[in-house]
Amino acid sequence: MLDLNKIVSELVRKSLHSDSILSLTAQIGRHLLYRNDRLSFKIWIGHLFAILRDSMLKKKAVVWTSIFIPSELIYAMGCVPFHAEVFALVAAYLNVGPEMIHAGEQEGYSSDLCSCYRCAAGLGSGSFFPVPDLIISSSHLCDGSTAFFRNMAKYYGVPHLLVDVPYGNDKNAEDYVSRQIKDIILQAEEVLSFKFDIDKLRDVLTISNETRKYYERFNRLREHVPAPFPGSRALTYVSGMMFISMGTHEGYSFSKALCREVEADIANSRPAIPDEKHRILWLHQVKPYYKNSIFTDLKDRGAVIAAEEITYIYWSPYDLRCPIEALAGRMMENINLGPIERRLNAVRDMVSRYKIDGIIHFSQWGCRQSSGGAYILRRSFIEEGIPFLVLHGDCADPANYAEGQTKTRIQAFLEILEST
Amino acid sequence: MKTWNVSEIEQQLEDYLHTEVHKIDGVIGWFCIDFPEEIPISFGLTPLRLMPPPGAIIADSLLDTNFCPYIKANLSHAYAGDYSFLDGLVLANTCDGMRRLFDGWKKFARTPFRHLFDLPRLTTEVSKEFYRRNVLKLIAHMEDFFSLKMEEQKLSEAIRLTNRTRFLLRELYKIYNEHPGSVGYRLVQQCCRASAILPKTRVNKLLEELITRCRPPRALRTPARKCRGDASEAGQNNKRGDSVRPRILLIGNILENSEIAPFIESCEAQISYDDLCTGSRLFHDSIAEDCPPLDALCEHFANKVPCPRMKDVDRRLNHVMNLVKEYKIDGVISYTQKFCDPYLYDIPLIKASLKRALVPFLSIETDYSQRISGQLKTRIKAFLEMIQ
Repeated sequence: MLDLNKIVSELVRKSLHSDSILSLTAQIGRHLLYRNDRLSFKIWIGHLFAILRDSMLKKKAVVWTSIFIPSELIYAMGCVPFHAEVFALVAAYLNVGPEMIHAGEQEGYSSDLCSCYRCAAGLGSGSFFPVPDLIISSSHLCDGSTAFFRNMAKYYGVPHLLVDVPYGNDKNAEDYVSRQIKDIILQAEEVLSFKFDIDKLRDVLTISNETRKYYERFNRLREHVPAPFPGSRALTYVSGMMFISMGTHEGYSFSKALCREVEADIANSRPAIPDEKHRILWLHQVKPYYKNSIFTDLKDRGAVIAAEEITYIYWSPYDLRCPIEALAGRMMENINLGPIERRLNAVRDMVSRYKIDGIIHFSQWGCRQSSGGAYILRRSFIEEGIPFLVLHGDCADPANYAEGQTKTRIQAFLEILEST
Repeated sequence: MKTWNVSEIEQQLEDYLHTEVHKIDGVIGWFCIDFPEEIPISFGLTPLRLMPPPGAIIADSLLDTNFCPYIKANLSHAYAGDYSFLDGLVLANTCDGMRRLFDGWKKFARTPFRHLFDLPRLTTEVSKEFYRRNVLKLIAHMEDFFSLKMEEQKLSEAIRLTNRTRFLLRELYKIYNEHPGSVGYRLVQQCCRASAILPKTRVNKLLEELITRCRPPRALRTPARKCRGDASEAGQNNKRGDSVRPRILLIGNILENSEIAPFIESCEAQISYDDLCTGSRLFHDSIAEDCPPLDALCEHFANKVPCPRMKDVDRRLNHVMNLVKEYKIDGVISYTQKFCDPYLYDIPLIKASLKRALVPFLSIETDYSQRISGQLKTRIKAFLEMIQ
């Protein structure tokens, strides 16, 4: 039988030493498509590679952007959004993480920084990413994001426009964010020589609102017991599509296909795992993307990731009468922004909706914003009788993944679940 | 007149922190230098920068292991009740760590007044307006909580008082540079520490006495500040003189380590200047005294040497490179608390700028320890030998 991971990783490794990155990535895409016959997965791969193709071939202006800038803004500008974090994690999945992380560290990025950004820095400085025409990022949720995109703008010699999202969530803060988005649009018009069309933004937001309805439906379907959709997949391509495709027809088709597939799985009694015993909530935006045994170990003991924080729909539908303010509102509604109580309340809602038995907080090495709140959340949920595991790990760097230790911690956690 | 030395200042700080501060009403704790101390001072409150000894092991169960040790030390002391004397805490929204510290403080400590002071990362007109509104919000919160009323006159007086401290610290750095043998960097470091901990009138007196020992009194007049262009006076006398010792620029965030400066000096090198949160960044830029005080505070935030958290990295890089030129620096040592993202992300850019200028660079990440390990000594020594 073909070892697909080995083939993919060999292809990527070869591509690091040739100019034909595009054709090789297309080959990888084709290989990946064989892995899964679901329409939603095919749309994800198709969209991912369309972005790679368009940005590598410079079919449109390329705007590097952080994952918490609503992609709708970039699509409304008529540009290709290139999410460096998403593609860094794709690289980690394709087993080139360590090589790129090493390259990032050679540039001076400390090994104590988030591996996702170290990997992205290695890919950026090694010319494996498309050259940006402009960089637009936001300051939420983490300091690493602001600094990484700022550094990359200096590296490529392109302007960096930052949406500075404050801690507070009052009228003053809303006004601050809205005015910055307006300024950014004006500056982007100047840098990229185009005229921003507010009606196009409304069209994009309309598609996004329709997509959002399907994601809400998807989440309602996931309340079903046994869980119809595994978190390991939600943490890859569902969250990925939520970042890179909101406001596009591909994003809409994806969310619709996803709902239909999950409806069919429920109707045909095809649960995510065969013998569900424990329903787990996964906290933090990422998981390890390289080869690891975490999800198999959970599955083997009857534990399913029934839901995850990253796919939680925290934002209200966009108000098309005031699209800029609506974008600002979405950025400010993020549950990880502001005081920890906001996140705590959202997690409580998830625990109740998805009938959660236990919580795993994946504490990504180098992440301060999410991991910094883990122990406060842990204390709160343990007081409320919900077992809570703080699982240290790394999304991109296998060097920070200790398999034996991770297994032991998961086993101990599952034993607690089994005894309650 | 008293002649201060390092151990006497340390003793003063010890006495103040262990005894005196507990008897004062209206002590307001703060952490980052972006917090405008002038506001509590104008209310008659007493600001105090929280610079505790390293934290207890309990910190590992409150915050993640890969977290800023300075923040962990503070939270563990708060958890242990060591800050029960505080009447208030103002925490600036400087970084992820500070935001999580605020969460932890609310859960584990019982400080009556708590305020998160939102700070922009930009210095545009829009962000200046946002900053101004946040200053007003802090004032309103303090007025309401402490039943006090802000008076513009008092705010102007507070600005004059803190400017005096800044001026005196600049004078001290100037003396340190003119006569490297007479004032060691450790003394300068302790004076900076005292300026953020002791009440300003008291620290000003201490600095005046210390400077008078080395300088004639005519040097102690504080020139009124203008709105813009406040050049560093400490850099005006920076000739190399006859010294052949390598001249080091120390950059980074919190330097609480008591052994590092003496060790560098023992290796026949001189710390000629610093760009630290616990050093020159406390006093490098004064606040204008010839315009309305609130305007002056806002302009000061926008124009001062930027913290690495700010988006405009060029201003910071230029500042570091200017210091290298101004002080004829032979090598730069970055001394940063581990896991401090804003500073750590600056390293690749600083490293590249210094490399272009052929200035040797050493990056140290440390754990808020008061001591210096053998391994670190070896690294520093090797670096200094390379320069020599």
